[in-house]
Amino acid sequence: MMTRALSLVCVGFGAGALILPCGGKVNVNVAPPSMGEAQALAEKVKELDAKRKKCGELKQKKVAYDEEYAIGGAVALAWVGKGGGLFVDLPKNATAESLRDGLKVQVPSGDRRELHKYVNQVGKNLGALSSRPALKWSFGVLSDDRAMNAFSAPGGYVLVTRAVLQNVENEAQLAGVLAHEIGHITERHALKLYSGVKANQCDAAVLAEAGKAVAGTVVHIDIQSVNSMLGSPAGLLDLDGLARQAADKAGKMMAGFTDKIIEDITSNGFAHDDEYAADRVAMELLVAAGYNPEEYVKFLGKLPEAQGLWAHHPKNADRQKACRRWRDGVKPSSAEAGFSPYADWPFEKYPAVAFRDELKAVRKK
Amino acid sequence: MRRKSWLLALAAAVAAAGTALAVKPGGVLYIKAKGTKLMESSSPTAKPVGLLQPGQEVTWDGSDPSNKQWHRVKFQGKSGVVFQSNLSPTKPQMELLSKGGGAEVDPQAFASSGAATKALSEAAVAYGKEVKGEDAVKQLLVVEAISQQIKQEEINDRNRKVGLFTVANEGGAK
Repeated sequence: MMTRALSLVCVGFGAGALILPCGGKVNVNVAPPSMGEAQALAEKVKELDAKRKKCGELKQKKVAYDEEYAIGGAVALAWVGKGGGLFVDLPKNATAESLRDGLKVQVPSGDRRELHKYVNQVGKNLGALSSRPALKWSFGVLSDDRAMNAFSAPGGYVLVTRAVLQNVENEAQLAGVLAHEIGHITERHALKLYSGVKANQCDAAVLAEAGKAVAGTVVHIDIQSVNSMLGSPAGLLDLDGLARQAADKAGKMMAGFTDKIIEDITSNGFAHDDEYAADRVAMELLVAAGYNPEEYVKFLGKLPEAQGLWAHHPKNADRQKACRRWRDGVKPSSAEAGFSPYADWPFEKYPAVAFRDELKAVRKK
Repeated sequence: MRRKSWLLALAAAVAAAGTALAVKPGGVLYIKAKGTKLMESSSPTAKPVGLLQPGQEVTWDGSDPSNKQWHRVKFQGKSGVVFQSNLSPTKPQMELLSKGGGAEVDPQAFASSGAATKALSEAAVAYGKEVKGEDAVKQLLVVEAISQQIKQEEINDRNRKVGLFTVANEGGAK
C-alpha cells in the first residue's frame, strides 16, 4: 500500500535530479507541489486504493442470475464452437430473432430433434432435483464424435459430445455425466473463475484510468461500467444492459471475459476439489432420480486419462474411490434415527435403464 | 506423502458430510423439487393433501414405518408423507436477482420472477456476433427451445415407464 502511494507521489515531486523513495531516478523540472496539491494527490491515492479494494471484493460476491446467464450463454457458445457446433437442425430461414420465443419455435422433426428431446428429458429431471431447481436447464449434443467431452456453462447449460453418447452403455451412465456437469453449475465453479476475471478487469480498468496501466494487461471493460458495478452494493455488472446500449462494445467485452474463462478451464481445468464435489453431486442426483449410481462409477473408469481436458481431472481410480466412499458414507444408521433419504441403500436394485433407440441419431453408421 | 494426507482430509470431509447434517424427529427439512405432493399416506392409492414448493420448510416426524422411502412431515398444520428424494436437510440455494439491487430469493420466488424463462441473453448474442458465431447462436436457441417445450408430465411418464422415480410435480413412487 505504502509503496504504491509513494510511487504516485514521487512522480509529482522534485526539482532537478531526485532519488525517489520508490527507487526510480528521474529528471523533472517542476516546482514542488503546494500543500493543497499534495493533499489532493493524497486523496486521489486514497480513492484509487479504495476502488481497487472494492474490485478485489468482487471475487467474493455472489453473481446475480441475469449476469450468470449472460456470461454462461457466452461460455456455452464458446464450447459449441470448440465442439464443432451443435448436432441440431435449424428451422428454414431461421434468424436469431425468430428463435427467441422458445415455445413457438418449430424445430424440424427427425432423429436429431428426438435425440435432443431425450437428452433434455434426462437432464431436466436431474436439474429439478438439484439445489438450483428453478434454473433454465438446457442440454445440448455437440457434433464432435471423436473426443469424449462434456461441458457446462453458468446459468444451466450442459453440453456433451456425440463421442460421449457413443460410449455410454446405459441411461444411468449418461445421467451421471449430465449430473456431474450440473454439479459444476450448482456449485458455481465456472462462476468463481468469472468473478476472478471480473475483479482483475475492474482493477486493470481502475489503474488505467489513473494512468497506471499495467503493461501486458488488456482492459476489456470501460470505466463507466466499472463505476456502475462498484456503485452497486451487490457488485452487479449489467451485461445485457450494456449489450442493449452498444452491442459491439458489449460483444468485445464479453469476448475478453469469455476467452479468459475458457483459457483457464482448458489450460488448468477446475480444481480437483471441484471435480470431486461435482462427482458427489452426480451421485446424489442419480440416487434421487432412482438410477443405479454404480453405473456412473463404472463409466468414470472408461474416461481417457491424460487426454485433453481429462488431463486436469483427478485420476479415474481416485474419482471412483471417492464416489464409492460417498456411497458407503450415506448408509442409513438406525442407531442415530436421523433423517436419511437413502432408504434403499446401497441402491443395487435401482435400474441402469437400457437404451432403446433414443441414441440412434448418433449411433447409426 | 502430501497427496496421502490430502486424500485422508478429503475422506474425512466426505464422511462428515454424511453425518453432520443429521436431522432428528421434530427437526426441519426442506422441499427440493417443485410441485412436491404431500400425500395422505404411502399407499399407491393415496390422495394428495397439499402441494409443496422448493425451499419450503416441513417438520420431520420420522420415516413411514410401512415404507421407509416415504417420510412423515407436517406443513402448516397439515400432516402427510413426502417421498425421500423430495426432502433435504439443507435449504436449496437462494438465487440473486439483479432487480431491486440484488435481492436474494428462494427457488419458488425465483421461478415466479420469470428470470429463468428468457432465451439466450442479449450479451451472449453480442458475444456470438463478435466471434462470428451466428450459427452457434441459432443452434443454442434451438436447443433451448427443445428444452423449453418439454412438459414435466412427459418426463414423469417416461420415468414411470423406465422404472425411475417421478419426483417433480409427482408423489415420487416408481
